[in-house]
Amino acid sequence: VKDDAPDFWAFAAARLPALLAYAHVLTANRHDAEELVQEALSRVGAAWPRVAKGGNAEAYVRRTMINAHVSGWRSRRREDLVATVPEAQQDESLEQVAAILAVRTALRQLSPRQRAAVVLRYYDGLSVEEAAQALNCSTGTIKSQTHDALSRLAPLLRDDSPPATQAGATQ
Amino acid sequence: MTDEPSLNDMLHDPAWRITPGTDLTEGIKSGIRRRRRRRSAAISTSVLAVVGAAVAVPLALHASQSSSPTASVAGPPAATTSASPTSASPTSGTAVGAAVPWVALPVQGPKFSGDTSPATVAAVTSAVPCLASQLTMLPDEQREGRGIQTQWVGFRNTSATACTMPAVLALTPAAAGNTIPTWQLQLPTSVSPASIVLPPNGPAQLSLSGPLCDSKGPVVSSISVAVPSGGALTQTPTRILLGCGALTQSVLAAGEGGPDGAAAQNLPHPSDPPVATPALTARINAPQAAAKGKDLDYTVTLTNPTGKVISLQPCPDYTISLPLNDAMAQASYGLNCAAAPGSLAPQQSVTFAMKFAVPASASQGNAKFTWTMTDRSGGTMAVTTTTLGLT
Repeated sequence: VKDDAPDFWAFAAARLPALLAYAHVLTANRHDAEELVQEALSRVGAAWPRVAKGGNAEAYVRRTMINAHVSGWRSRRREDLVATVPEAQQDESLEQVAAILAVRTALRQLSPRQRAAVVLRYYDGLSVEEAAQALNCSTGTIKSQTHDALSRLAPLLRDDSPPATQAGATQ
Repeated sequence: MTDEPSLNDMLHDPAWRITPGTDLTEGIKSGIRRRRRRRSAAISTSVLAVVGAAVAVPLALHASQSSSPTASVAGPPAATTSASPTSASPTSGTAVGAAVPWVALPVQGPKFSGDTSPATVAAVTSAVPCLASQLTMLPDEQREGRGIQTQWVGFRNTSATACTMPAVLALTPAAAGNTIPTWQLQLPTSVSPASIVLPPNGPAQLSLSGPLCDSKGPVVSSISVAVPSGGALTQTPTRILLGCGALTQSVLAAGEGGPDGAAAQNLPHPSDPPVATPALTARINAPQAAAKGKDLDYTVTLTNPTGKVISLQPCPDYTISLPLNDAMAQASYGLNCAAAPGSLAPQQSVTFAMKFAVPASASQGNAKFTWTMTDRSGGTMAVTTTTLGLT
């Protein structure tokens, strides 16, 4: 981005934490999350005047991340399943971090499209119809994907005590 | 079932926050620069772009084929963008004179890029058909979106001499555990295949594209590419879904490629910023019936519905597409701007005479005929469709 587009960098700096968190949920992997944000902001930065003109840059970046994620933008890279630990906030208990880690592990077992469907429905709060439009698929597909995903996540959300192995990983 | 509010809370938990690496900003800057370089390279005109094809296998679309740049056919029809209905003359606005005559002009917009360096151009003159032993084939990225899936496969000439490959290749797919019909894109014998040149150690990209849908179907686990001079190369792509039928485009383009490279410029891109709403309205005035194997004469009227003057410079291109039995015929030309006004005032219209050779292989019955005009960057300026009764 040229120096005459400082608003792009102001936008990127301001929204980077939120975008990284979004990508982290979407990819269930912090390294992939950083790569995904870098990829999305590179795309958007290269077309910033058009994106900024649209008026909702963050939504556009998120949608770019969703599209890149489900299309396997990093298909040439090996799958990185190394257990990495969420960075605990100071006001957060070890159990909370472990619970997130367990959810993240469960999210990893979903397909990219399933994760995207979960994020669109339960992070972005989109309706089934809106999520189907975003992923260019039928509402039935969204329903089945989120149903499968929720079935896998259900035990984690019901159980207040995180799995011991996951808790151990946080130490 | 999972408590959905709990999931929402869990996904928004602060524990998902991560601290960015110190090189993230540099990575973004680098990515932006790379994208801009690729975009510039794709837009530049190439002497190797004589292949000029916008899509797949050339058809004998018109007797003046030698001067017309693009004609193609490949797998089953992809979903087409439809806009204004058809067979209607403009009902408002100011028409500009008589119809602008049709001329088979080559496309001017970005189609394929290539290396125009003197060394490469010199190599072109002495290049001979590639041998399978000169080539390597490597998997590249796969993307899907907006109803389109695209698989890129990278080629490289690993030898020390330049060689040529046809821009459209014969492919044979294989799907593990599934029996799928042999699928090879063949050129009509009446048409000479356009070719590209791979300089020593030069790259090329094969893009395979087709419709994307939710239907389940076989997944192509490998493709075999026939090398015309003998032999074949086999590659295992990430995945190609055939739920909606076979692929519709198969194009080899010179140069580094992938989703951001030259080949991608011709394809809808899932992650590109949205194309602006077409500024001009287009209407086709065509006979209700058209004979297979014969020329179809029709007109397209462009109208400026806005309150501002719209320029027709740089001169746009247009693409015609018509689904066949299990394929899509397409042809691309440059608009005859030399005989047309350079711009359209508000509510002003201009009519262009058009000609299209209806493929003899088309099936009888109604078929959707789509006309799309694009600017030099590939953005859609106008699109219109009509239904032709083929006899």
